[in-house]
Amino acid sequence: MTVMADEELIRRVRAGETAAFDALVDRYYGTCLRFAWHSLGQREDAEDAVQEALVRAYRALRRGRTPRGFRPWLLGIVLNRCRSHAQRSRRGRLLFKRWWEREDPDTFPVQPAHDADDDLDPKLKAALAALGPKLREAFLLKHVEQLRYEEMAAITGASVSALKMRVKRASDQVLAMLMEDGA
Amino acid sequence: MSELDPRLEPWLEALRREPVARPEARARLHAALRAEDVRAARRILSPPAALAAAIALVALTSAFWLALWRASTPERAAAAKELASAQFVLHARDARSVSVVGDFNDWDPNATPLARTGDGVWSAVVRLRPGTVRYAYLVNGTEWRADPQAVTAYDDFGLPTSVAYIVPTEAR
Repeated sequence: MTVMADEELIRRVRAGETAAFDALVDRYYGTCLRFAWHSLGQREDAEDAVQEALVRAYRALRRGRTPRGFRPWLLGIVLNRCRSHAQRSRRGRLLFKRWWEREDPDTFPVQPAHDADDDLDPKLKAALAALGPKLREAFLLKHVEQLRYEEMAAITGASVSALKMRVKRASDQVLAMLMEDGA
Repeated sequence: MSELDPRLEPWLEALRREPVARPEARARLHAALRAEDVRAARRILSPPAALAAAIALVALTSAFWLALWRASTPERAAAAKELASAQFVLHARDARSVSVVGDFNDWDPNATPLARTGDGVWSAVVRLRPGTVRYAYLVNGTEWRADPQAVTAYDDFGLPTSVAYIVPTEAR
């Protein structure tokens, strides 16, 4: 069985072949979900962000967009959706606080249970969560998605030197948290 | 600068494991993609879509000429990027505290407190990038108020937020 290159699949999507985009989804859904989940910390939010990103990517390809590298381009769209979700959820938390202080907390719906299949070490999750959004983005794109700095610059809008600094600071911060208590 | 400390490697391996997709999430995505196919077909055919496209085209063309005019001299281009001072003012006589939350401070209630500057008048000056900004006031840490002096829009949560346009310094 031959594996079709991204470029060929994109060409077919542009020609109206819907199955070609399904093949791209099969190939990159896991990557997108991983990035979004680590960025947002919640599977449900991550799935929503990935769905929005893939629909946008599909729309863009159908309209003739030809990204130079599909994977970093797609991750850029996921990153933007994650930023929007993070902003919405910050506002959501703020509103939740308002509600909580006004109403009877006992009547508020129960918060979603912790993801059952999220088997990341709690210490690692805490270290990621402690990073600021920009540091976390840079850390994940570099060390988890293993993009080149030029690719990261293209999708984040930050300069290569700023990104190198963020990756360094994030790595130091994560390592310091992981090594606490002699781990 | 980008050298990786080897002690991070085992942790990164854990982060690099791809999560397994849930069938229900993939099903939702599949449905959304097919709905997009239907929408795309409608966009081609429907007269309202053509009208919307024409309006969008006019708006985009105007934005293009506006951007071109702004960038027509180095001074204007620089001014468009420079931070401009925006003053947020709210009359709240009985308030114990007032802060402004918005796109510019990630809706953080602690980021931009207003100071009481007169009899029931609260204000703060914030340096902002020119362009549209969405914001609201938070009185006593919990009470959400739109700015009575600004345009109101309703957000994803059905709450009123205020919308203002920050004018570049050069254009004032």
